Amino acid sequence: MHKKFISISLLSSLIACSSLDSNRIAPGYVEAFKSIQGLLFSAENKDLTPQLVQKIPYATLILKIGKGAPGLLILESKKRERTYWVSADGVFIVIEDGRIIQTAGIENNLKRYVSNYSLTHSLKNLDILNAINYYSFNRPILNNLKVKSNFKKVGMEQVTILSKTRNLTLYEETINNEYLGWSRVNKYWVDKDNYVWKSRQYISPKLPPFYIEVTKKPT
Amino acid sequence: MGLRVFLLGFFLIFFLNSKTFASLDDYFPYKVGPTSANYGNTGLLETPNARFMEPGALRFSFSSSYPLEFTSLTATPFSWMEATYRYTEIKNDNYGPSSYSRNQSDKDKAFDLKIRLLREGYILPEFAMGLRDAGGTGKFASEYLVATKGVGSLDLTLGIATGGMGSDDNIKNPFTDISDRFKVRNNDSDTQGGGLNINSLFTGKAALFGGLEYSLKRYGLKFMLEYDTSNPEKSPSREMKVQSRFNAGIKYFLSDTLNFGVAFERGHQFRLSFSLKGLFEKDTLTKPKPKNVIALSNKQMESFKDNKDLFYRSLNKSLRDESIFLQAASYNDDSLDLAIASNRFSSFPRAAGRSARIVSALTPQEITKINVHSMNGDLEVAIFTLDRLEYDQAANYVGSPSEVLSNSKISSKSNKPLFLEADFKPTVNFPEFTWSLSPSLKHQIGGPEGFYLGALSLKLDSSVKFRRNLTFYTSLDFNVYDTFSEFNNPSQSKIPHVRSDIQDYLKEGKNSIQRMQLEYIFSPYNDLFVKLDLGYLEEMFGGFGGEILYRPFSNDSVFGLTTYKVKQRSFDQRFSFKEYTASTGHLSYYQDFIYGISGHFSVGKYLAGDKGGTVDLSRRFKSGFTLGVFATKTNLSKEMFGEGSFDKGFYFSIPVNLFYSDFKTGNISFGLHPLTKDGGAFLNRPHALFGILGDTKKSTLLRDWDDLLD
Repeated sequence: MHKKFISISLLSSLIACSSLDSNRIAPGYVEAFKSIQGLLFSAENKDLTPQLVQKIPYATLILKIGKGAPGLLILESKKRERTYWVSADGVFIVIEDGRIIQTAGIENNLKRYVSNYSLTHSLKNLDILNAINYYSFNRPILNNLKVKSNFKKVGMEQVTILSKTRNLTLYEETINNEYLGWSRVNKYWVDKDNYVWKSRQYISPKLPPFYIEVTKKPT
Repeated sequence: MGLRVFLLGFFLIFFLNSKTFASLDDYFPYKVGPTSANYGNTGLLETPNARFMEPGALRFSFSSSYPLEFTSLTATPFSWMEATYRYTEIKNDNYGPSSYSRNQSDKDKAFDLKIRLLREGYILPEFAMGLRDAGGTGKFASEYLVATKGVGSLDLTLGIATGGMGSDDNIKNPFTDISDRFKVRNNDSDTQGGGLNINSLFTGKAALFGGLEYSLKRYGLKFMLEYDTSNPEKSPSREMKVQSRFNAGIKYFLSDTLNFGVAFERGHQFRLSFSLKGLFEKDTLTKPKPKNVIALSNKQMESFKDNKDLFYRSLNKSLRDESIFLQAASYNDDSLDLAIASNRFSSFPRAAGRSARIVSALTPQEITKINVHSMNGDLEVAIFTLDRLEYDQAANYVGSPSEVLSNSKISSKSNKPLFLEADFKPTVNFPEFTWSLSPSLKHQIGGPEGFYLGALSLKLDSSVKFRRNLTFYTSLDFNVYDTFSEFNNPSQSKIPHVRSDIQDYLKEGKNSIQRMQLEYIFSPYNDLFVKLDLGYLEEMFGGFGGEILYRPFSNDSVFGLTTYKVKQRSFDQRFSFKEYTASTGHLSYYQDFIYGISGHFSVGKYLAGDKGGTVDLSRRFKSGFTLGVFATKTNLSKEMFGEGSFDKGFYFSIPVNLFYSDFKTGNISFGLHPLTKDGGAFLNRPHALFGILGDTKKSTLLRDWDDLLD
């Protein structure tokens, strides 16, 4: 966060430079401008194409953390309902039933997630009030942060992931820890088989939201 | 009565310490930590506490009320030391006679220092001592000892102060028990300012002050209540009634580093404030890992033996993908030598490691040694002789940088660079022309005509390299907008006006030649470097001269000698000169100490002909962030030097790396001389040899050795 203040203060003087030759005209400022763009607006990754995903013989998903550039994760293994995904730059996530339950390779990691209801069960039983979840983190260590959650069905939406469009049901999960004042809304786009194709998940008070789009479903 | 109630409540809570929810507190949305007091140092509102910012932090604070407005910069060179530089605007007082400064309000410069004496423990509070307005005019001078104890979300502070903060005179000065000289405070401030009046420290009236801070972390709020013992109404030049000694305020944290505050002080003053903090101790942005280089097949590697040109071109291409530029290479029977330069990596081991990774992927196992010759500019500064097997194992997570180091050698042959005798030398077409155009800002802060006068200009930098080491630099400045026409304060200096005519240079130097200079750098003997300069060397002087730097590679000490014959340039900074000529030069000694502290000591003759010495002390953090102070004392008397008594200042340098998600070289530097004076003035020398070679000693390469595999 502390990186932002200097960058933002430069913004007004840099906007005019964006279309100039960055090698010659104010090279330092143009680099700073690109950096600010990445901070304020979501970064793009133009390499992620349907053709690329098609070529990869494994299940894949696209992960975007906050305003960072989206990256491709490949299914490394699957144990029952748990899928283990890995990126080229060493980010690991474990997904169970559509929910991120563990991460590695990030500045602050979710080490363990325990809930009294699975995501699928909660989606089928929306009348469950105050499902209890426990989150454990490292860097810094915090064990069993108690987080209450409630679900609601929003409705059907057409969702396009890498040129492929599906009709999915959007559910919202409101999570809340009163002591920290941490209250967020997670979103899950689910097909009729309750498979989560797309989601926005908050997994730690110290991390921005994780955006996940499954580009090739594990078999 | 008010003080007694406050003290009773304070002591009841002070020793009931309990640290609850320590790890849970780390997960609040905002880190509601120690904040800036009105004066910029860490504290409550008017009073300081014993808290400190994190080491390697820099904080800009602004706090406004009537009649006092504070603008300050605070840094923590160590976890136990905090230094503040501050401008105070005294709105109900004039800067000077209206003929001199029109209706500008008074401005006061000040320097504060706070040092931790004891860290907070389970029982004991954190203790600190501090000096406020030390070395300035002393208008706000105070000294204090203060203790702060955290009790859950509450921070309790109690302190004793003398000087301005001791005005309330609510307790006997304990130092008077040691000596009678502490009974009377000598308020005769040094008319020139700039010196520390040690004899007045902790003298005169004393007062107990204190306060409490309550953090409501889930909302990013901090509430403050303090007992303020300062008494500015007693100052003859200002009228500030104290209707209440209790001040109250709230700070709101918009983020971990930015907070806004509002306060009600002295029973009738409202104050608004904000502070902005940067943490530069570590690089917290993730940088790209080394690019994955697919190893060639044995057949492909063998083919390189017969076609070395193809190998060199492959090597060149792969290195370029990492923004490393191959300067020379020699493919030997059992080793490979390559000279590299990079404007992406400031860490030489990192560039060497990434190069070795590429070499390893392209060469057969017979190549057992990889010799990476690192270059900075056109100078070869170090040779990394890496054991190929050890490196490969470490790169494959079966070893460590330390294990690679045990079988590696770091050396220097600066006078016999590889590019002179290598098998492969990339073709460079001389003369090589480069240019860039950037916006540029010039400032004059705190002058009598206005607090801030400035100019926006376009700076066109170009260089023509005729051959390796011989370059012609030009820097042209084209004015866009400025407010320098308001300058009305000609220099009254009694010695040659080598710097104090700055107003004339700024006013008349629009559309100017800032620099036009031929530069030649070479290394005649190993570890000895020479630089020769000729031309318009800087905005105010032109001439010729040179520099010799002896950098014993395996030693922490570096020695330098500079000598220049210069003539003062005309104010318009084009081609003409003024009458004044000078010979200037210095003997320098650079030494690295522990904890990243470096010293630069020089003696010699300065631009105005005065003779003396300069001490420059700085601390470099792991990230490259550097904080430094300097002072120059010459044979000029205080009167001849003028206000400030001697030249001094501070600087900081932030690697641009810290703001980007990729590696980059370069620094954002900021230096401040509180006053532009003629005494102790150095010739400005871009590309000083120590700047090029200071970070190339063996010890600094070993400091960054862990970057080898990163």
